[in-house]
Amino acid sequence: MKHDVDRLLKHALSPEIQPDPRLNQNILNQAEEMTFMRRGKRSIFPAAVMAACCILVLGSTTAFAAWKLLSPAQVAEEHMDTKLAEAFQGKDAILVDETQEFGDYRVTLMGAVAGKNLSKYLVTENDGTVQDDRFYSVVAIARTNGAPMPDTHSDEYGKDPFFVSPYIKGLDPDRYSIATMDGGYSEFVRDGIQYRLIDMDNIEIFADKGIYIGVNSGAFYDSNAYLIDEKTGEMKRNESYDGVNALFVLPMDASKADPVAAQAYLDKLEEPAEPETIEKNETDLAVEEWVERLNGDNLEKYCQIIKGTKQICKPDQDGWCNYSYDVSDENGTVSGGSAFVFNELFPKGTQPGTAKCLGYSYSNLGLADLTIEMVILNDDHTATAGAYKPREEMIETESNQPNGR
Amino acid sequence: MNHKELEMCIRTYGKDIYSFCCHLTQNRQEADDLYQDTFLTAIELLDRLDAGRNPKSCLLSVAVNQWRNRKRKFAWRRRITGTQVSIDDMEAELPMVQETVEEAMIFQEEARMVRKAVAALPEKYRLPVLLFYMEDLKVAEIAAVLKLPQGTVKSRLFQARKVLQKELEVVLSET
Repeated sequence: MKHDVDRLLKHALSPEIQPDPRLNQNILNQAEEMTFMRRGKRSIFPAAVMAACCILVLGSTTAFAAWKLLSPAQVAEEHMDTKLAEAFQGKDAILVDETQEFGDYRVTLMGAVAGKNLSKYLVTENDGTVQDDRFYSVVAIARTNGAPMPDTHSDEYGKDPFFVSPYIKGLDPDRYSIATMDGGYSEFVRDGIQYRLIDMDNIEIFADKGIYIGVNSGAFYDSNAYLIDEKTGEMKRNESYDGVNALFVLPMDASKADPVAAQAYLDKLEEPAEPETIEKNETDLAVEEWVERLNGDNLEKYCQIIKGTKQICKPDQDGWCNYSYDVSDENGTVSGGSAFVFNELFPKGTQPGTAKCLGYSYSNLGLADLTIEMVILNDDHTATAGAYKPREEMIETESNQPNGR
Repeated sequence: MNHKELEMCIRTYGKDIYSFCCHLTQNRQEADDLYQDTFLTAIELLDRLDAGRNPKSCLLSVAVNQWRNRKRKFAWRRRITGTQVSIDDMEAELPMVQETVEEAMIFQEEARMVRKAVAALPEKYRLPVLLFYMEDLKVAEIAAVLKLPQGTVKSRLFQARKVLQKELEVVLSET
């Protein structure tokens, strides 16, 4: 029986949720800004690395019948998307079957289809908008030596990642790709061949400009993989790129272009994203202000510790302190706690008795429902942590502010 | 950690960390925040940590610490934004390893029930369960991530298994 629970848990909790590529890009961008702030701007690629990247790798381009591959419709069916499978069999589908080889890998662009309501699985955004006008494409990746690609649930999967994206001629691929145009993908391995089904905003409106599909090594767009003619916008493979840098021209019907809609789409994409804000009302601001005024001297006067939450925290070998509690009373169980780096919270020279706030709760009831986690430095390189509630007599009037306000 | 190392770190561990964040927060938006904060914090911390330590368990440590520090804020935001993701919304992410549609449907239904049962566990049990079954960490690594004695981790896993066994009686009787 125990084995069955283990098996069920292992299967059901398989870590298969992919972060949005834009989220990863955002992390890299922020990391870059942090580096810039700390050390001043520097090149991401030192000269030595750049030199190492210039090892000549020749990619060969061939077009042949991909007889071993599933069709794009079969790939859609494998994803249990019968509606999309039908679309790939319809008259508007673009079937390509062009293969390019790069060292260990053979990449095949199988086809694409675009339009409204083509899939059973349409994404609904937070505001309720359904993403119904989409572009879909299927790419197959195989090893040239015939060895199977790692299955999606094996440990090897994703160790040699690929970035698959359409690009629009004349638009910067770094700024306009699957990562920025509401894209995503799903993939599986069948008979040793990796099939990736990508989807993104419908780019058919750009059909008159020219559409490419690129597949490069790495999890993101790699500007070293392609060369772009600044005058014409034409993309080419960088022959000296060390890795996979397939580039296909997708034969889209130029008559389906809509320059007005295309410009409107680009304008919308350029609009700065509204920063995510947490709306704070007056109650929350009052709570923040109240908490900020707490210190080691007035804590006991204004707050009362919740019974059972007091703990002595001692830093471990990495300098971390862990504070956690589970307290049960007639109202149920209260759990909480924080982990912190002792020396960051209490830098050398901090006076014993100094209190720091580890966190506190927000609630529409303001102070009446406030829980504050505080930690006070002791004189033996430990700290005393506790969860506190404002004393009842202290939350009744405005004048009962810490520090006498 | 430099840019290239960070990129490699995201490539290698991104899916594991993101899955953990999703199951921990039960909310995509919060998971995004937690995932992002985890990597940005890790840039600073990983340089200082023991090079011999598994980077994934270091990242999970950071995620757990970030989560503990932020969960009150998350709880408040969840109430006003109502963006909590249902367990069902994570279903489509499972790898499809079944031969037939029927098998796939049974698997999905089983998985949904299991995830629901795990999500309902108190956090002190849910965290070790996620780290053990989802992230494949050993008890000693979980103890380091959660900063708990190994005995406590074992005991929590044992208790969690007991609860889940009871909750999943129907599924288990069919397997």
